[in-house]
Amino acid sequence: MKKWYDLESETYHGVVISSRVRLARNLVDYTFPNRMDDEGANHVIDKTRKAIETTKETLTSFFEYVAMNRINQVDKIAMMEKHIISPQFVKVKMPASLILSKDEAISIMINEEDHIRIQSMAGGMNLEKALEEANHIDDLFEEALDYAFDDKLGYLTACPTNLGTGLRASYMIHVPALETTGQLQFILEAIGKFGLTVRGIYGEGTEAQGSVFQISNQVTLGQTEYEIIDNLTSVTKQIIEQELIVRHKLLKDKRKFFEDAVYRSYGILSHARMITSKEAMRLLSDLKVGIELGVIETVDNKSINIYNLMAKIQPANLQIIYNKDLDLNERDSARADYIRDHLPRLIGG
Amino acid sequence: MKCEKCQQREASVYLNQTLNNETKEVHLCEVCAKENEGILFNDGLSFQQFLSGLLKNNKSPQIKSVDLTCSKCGMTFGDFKSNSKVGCAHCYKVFDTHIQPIVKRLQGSLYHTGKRPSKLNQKIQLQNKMETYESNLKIALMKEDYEQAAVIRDLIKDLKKEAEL
Repeated sequence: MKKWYDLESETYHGVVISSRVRLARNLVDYTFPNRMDDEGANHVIDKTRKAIETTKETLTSFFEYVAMNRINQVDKIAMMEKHIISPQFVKVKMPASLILSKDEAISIMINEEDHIRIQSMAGGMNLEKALEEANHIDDLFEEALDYAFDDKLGYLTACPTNLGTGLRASYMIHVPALETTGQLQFILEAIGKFGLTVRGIYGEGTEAQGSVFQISNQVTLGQTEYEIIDNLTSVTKQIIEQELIVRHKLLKDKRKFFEDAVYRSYGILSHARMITSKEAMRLLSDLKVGIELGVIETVDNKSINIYNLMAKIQPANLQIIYNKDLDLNERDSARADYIRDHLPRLIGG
Repeated sequence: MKCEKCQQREASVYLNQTLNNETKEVHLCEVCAKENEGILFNDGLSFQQFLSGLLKNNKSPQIKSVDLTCSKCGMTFGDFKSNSKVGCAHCYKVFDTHIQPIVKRLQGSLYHTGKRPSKLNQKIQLQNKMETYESNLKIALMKEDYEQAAVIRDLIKDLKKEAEL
């Protein structure tokens, strides 16, 4: 089955990589995971699994169930690197489980910070679709389970920052031109006024790599789900527009420098024998924008599936691909090998 | 020590109220502490404003020992403040007025306008209907309109059946 990130989508010249929504839900009859014992945790796992299995829809074949305490740390981190689970879920000690759709677009974390975290991903600018999918799963759960819901405060969550809709929506965007010219800083300061925030690629407190950022809503209460998404989308569209303006200006004013940078990046990526993930991300970012602007031409006009490549060159994913433990140097070497094998080929190159 | 307010129950909440450089210790039972937050701040400063000010900066008056505890999960308000997570759905009820200013500051709102669980919505709708019928029934009885009262009684009966389904 094709994964969601292999499907075609509207990316606005590659600026929008992916869309993601997450809904936080809790069961009214159980204390929240931070106050729950193992027995309660197991009950929540059973109840949520039964809820999926007993729906009228034939979802069982669409999902797989993963008991988190049965899989090893490397596999967990690899899932985190692919954004299937959150960094926090990797560290959960109590019984926890993951319900994952075969195309990896839907992942449901049971016993993360809240009892249920429904995550839905879609390629490009597709938040509405992602929300619809998440809502659908939410409705199925709701038929079978009693949610913690307050007439005034909405869906009750462990942390008050998620109250109300329990919705965190985000776009993953690639904005190298805004970052290089320092304009991103102004934008970041401005978007706070819209109740939005920008984070690194692995969420809160993580660093941005390869000019890839996540922009998401901060406020979850007092706005409807669609208002949150509309707000986020219109601000993101502004950012896209600015990014494209600056890209074309750079291309017009400094074409030779730009071409040189893109070809150099390709040169290193296609010949390096060892490479750190930070350097790889920076060079892949150059190459991606170079292809998108037509500065460098690839066979079949193929661009880089940055989402997939970005995940595959992270430490845990490399260890899974090469099926062994790798130390720091071995990883840098494996990463260089993997990238060489997966770079698009240049016309006449 | 007896509660300073009701003079009956044992005082279990000790408040150190420092206002305008004057510290006053107040001993209250849990019931009075909850019900009569106003007496401590009768100079016009509401408890809510007081607490939100307290969380914003340390120069505000200090309050100690108000440690509400959730009867369902055992979480105290102090626990909540230190790890910023509540322990269960009931905590929001217990910490109600204390947590509101925090929610308001984080979210800018206290009112959910988005999706609602449809099951719960039905329940709320039934409840509202029931309340309307019951008040209509009272009015009919007051007017001694027994015919109308009988009609409403039937409606209530039907609604109760519906609720059980």
